[in-house]
Amino acid sequence: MISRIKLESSTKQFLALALALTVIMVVAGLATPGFLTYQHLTMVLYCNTMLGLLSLAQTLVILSGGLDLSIGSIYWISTMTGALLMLDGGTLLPALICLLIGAGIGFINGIAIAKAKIPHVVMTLAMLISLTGVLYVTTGGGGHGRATEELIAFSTGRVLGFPYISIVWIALTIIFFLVLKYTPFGWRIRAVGSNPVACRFSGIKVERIQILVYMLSGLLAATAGLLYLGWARTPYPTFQSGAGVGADVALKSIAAVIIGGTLFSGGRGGVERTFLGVLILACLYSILLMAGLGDEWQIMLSGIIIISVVVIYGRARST
Amino acid sequence: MGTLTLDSITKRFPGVEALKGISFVLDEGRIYGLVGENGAGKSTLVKILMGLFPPDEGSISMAEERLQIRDPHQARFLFGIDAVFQEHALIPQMSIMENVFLDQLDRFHDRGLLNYRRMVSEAREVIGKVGLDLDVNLPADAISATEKSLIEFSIALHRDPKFLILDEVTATMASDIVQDLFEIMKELKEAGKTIIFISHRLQEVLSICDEILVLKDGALQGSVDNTEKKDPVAIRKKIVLMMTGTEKGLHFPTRDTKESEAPVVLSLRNIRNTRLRDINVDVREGEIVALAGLRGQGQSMLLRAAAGMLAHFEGEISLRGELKRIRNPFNAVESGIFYVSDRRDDEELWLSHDVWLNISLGSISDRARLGFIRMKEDRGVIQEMVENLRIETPSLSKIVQQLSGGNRQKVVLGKYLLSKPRILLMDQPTIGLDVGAKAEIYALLRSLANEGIPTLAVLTDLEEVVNLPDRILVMHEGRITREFQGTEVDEEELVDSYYG
Amino acid sequence: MAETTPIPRAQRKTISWLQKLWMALQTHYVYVILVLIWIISAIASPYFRMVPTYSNILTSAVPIALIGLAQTVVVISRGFDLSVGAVASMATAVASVAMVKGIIPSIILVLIIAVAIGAINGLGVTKLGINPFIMTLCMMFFLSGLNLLIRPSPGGYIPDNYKEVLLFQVGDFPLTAFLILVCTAIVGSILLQRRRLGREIYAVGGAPERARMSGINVDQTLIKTYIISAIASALGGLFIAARIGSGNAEAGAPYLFDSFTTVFMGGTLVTGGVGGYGGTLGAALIISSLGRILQFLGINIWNQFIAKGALLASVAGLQIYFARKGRQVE
Repeated sequence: MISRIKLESSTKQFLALALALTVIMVVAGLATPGFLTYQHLTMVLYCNTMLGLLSLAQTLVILSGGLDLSIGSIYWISTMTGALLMLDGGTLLPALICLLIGAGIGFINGIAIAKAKIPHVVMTLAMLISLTGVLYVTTGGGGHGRATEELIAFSTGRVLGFPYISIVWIALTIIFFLVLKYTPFGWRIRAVGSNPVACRFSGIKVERIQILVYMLSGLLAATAGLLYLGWARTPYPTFQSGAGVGADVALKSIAAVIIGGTLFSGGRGGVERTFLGVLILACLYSILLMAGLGDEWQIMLSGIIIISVVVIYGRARST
Repeated sequence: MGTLTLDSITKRFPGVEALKGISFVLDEGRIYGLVGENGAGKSTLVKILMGLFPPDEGSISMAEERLQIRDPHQARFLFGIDAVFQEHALIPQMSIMENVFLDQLDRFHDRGLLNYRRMVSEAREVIGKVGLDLDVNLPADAISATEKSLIEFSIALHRDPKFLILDEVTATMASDIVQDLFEIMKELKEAGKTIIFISHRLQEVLSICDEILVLKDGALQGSVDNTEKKDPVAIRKKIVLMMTGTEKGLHFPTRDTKESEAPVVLSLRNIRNTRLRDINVDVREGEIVALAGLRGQGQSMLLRAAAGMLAHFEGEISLRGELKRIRNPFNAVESGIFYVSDRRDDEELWLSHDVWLNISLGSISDRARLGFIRMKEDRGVIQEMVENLRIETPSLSKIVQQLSGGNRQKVVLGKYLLSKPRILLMDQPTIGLDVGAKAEIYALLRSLANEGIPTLAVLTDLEEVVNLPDRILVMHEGRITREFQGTEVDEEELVDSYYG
Repeated sequence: MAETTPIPRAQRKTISWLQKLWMALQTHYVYVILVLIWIISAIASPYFRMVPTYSNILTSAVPIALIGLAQTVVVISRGFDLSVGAVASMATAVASVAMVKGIIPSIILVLIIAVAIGAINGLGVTKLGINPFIMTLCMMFFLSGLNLLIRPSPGGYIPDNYKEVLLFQVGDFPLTAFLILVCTAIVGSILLQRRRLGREIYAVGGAPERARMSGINVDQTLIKTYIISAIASALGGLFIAARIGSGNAEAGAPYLFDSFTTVFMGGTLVTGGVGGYGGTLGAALIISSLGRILQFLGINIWNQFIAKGALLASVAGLQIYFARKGRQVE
């Protein structure tokens, strides 16, 4: 019976992805008894919310045919700015400022990429390095400032054991799923990623879409930064020498997007797939951790996973 | 060695079967003509013979021995098959001499370094064989299309192939150069070489080829013997019949005589830039106006200027008497001026998306409410358009890449018709379409013109130029040099006017 | 101008010497800028009239120049190589572990690994059809992890005589560094301008489909390109190892960034097929000089980061602006 139901290929891929996630979770559950408990699963969700939001933002950018390597540094800028501003008390105003800064940085990225036609890799890499400098110049690195109690309460709070911030992640994923599927803006994002020339010829303001997407990316990254601030209370940015602040999460977000099956060249894919991509990545990391293998194995594995996934998707598409 | 045999060569691309079991034998010392409409499969066949992609089915053999042609290098040096491609194969940024020896540069390694001095003299010798005298240090994008074709021809000659394919090399050439080229071809024939000559100009084909193979919609319609070069009129008629499938050729919609005083819809005044020289065009209500001429005389550039796609040009564009400021495509679309590119897959369609998105996207905001697409209504509108244009698709969620060329072009038209155009600027509207699809597009353009949406189109196919438009504007070197009324065109006079 | 005018048989198109001079100035504008920077800073401060300053500039330019060469060849082929920094780090990490057993064998080992890395990148890009950005990004991921396994924390053993040879100075003049720069310049220019492979890289980057039609084996050319890139990065890493005197799993990371700046500043176009190593080398000297100047001005490392980012963005922006302008003039 089931084979008679004709599914769209995107739905099929989504189901395959969900199946892969289930298999990974079951295997992990059999190997380690604590894995498949409500407590642990919500913990996995909780720990990966920030990455989830960044990957959500990255999905939008990649769908529009772009790439944002500066996403992690915007995230840290937001965290650190928020921490310093919140020292004076007050949560809303500092939060608003952080969001504005995020959107502003995204705007600069967008202008440079859409109007000045600087390649996205180059521009966002330049932004990543500059923001690393800005972060340390203005905040002197980590250890300063502190989140307000309200924010801490929100970031660490749970309802029925389910973290608030994960609800934010899921809600935003649903919202952007609907935006992509049911609004002209969402259709245009995909169209710009698929064929910008056709968009121009059809009278679509390609540049405006691109700028908006980078602004959204900055905004979401800043949101993630704020949520992280409430969790970390007094944040210490991780800095890998020379690679810039937040380069690691930016790369992980790209990994999650690709594992979700969003086409790197743009146009096809979706935020719901990235959601599963983040969870698959998270479970794999979690398994590695339980096997006693550290960060370096995570990084290595990410590389191998992305390549395998790209090859598998490529094969699936060509048949 | 002798013969080259093609046995049921088949090639499929997404949405189209480009070649359907082509079989023929090429004997040595003969010149074969290969003719067919755009999209009949000629270029695909060339690329298969050169190993640019493998056939899905069928085999190629030379003197009973089956060939596996993996790449052009192998085709040239192992099997002696060479080709001058329709799209130039010269690397634009590199010098002429490097282009001449691009796949044999190691021949010029002297003590480990490329010896450019030797390359200069040898390259000059190679291009001198076709009568060219150029500074071979010039980059390839600094020379004219004719020179590029001749250089590519000379490169092929230099390799001394047994089988030589010439794909549309004469398309941009003036007749005296074509004659020189024919002399060289005859010499090659005397020397026992085999030449496949592909051209849209039937006169040329008839005057040089010993046998003419006719392709239509990817299938070989048959071959016509022309060894005697006698009775060209009858042979031409026979070939046209085979190419188009009807004796009359394509079916064109009837043209009513137009009132010459119909209101002007689009008016271009003094359009000029580095290539265009003070062009004035009026397109009136109910008209289809053709821009004709040799390739690359500025026809497409004129359309693109009017559609806001050129960064630099001067001149005035007005629509129904109202002066419009058109500096980018968005201005043009806003005014109702719609440009339809000849490269529809690259510049018009979102190939990996479905029919729905492709038709809907251009005007989607008009049908949205509160920022949301009303899915049901939108679907209805698109479905109606699909039915009106008779787009053959099983559903709206069919990926456009899987549609045939004709249906793709209709999708493009559907996209623009929803945006309520006031005039269409079409660059080769039927390029790559089969005869049936062409006739449908002609009928569509004619009925649009009657309904008040005139068309200004770049046309290249002679039959189209003669039979479709109400008026023909011939362009030469960036100027409009002649104007013909559509119903009273003398074909020969028209072609003569192409040369300025 | 017109596409179909009959060819005047006697007429020859040539480039005048004035045009040639102008073209030469255009292609070598980085050196004009470099000299200007040196002159201005020498006028401004006695520090920039002293030999040790320039010896330092030369020494720190070596890895930038080598890794710049790595990026240049790939960008000319219309690609990206994000793994250059990680390959350099790999070289320092492997050297710091292996050099206990002997210097020459370790260098050979590093180079063999580099060839393997380049070949994998190239095969991924060509045979598997993976986007170069993704392919080299994953390679970067993989290598960063691997480097940390080889060398979890900075340290290890780099023999003194190895350091002495590479950092050898005559008086204040860093002879080895200078020689390496000269050799890199010669090898890079010969490879790209005077060898078949180099010209094929240009052809592939300029118009891949046409290169295929012309009979170039595009896949093979690209694989070789990525191998050359990995070797140049590894050589850069070997020099870094001598400078820092130890292995460090992250030592090469900053150079990825510099490699883009040098390539774009040097006039190699991101669209492929245009550019050369001369510009990159000049840009490497500029970057290294600027680093010294910023340091001299007492600008801290973090402000330097801001400056670097702004420099890359403006260099890329300017290049694209001029490229577009040039196209419109035609």
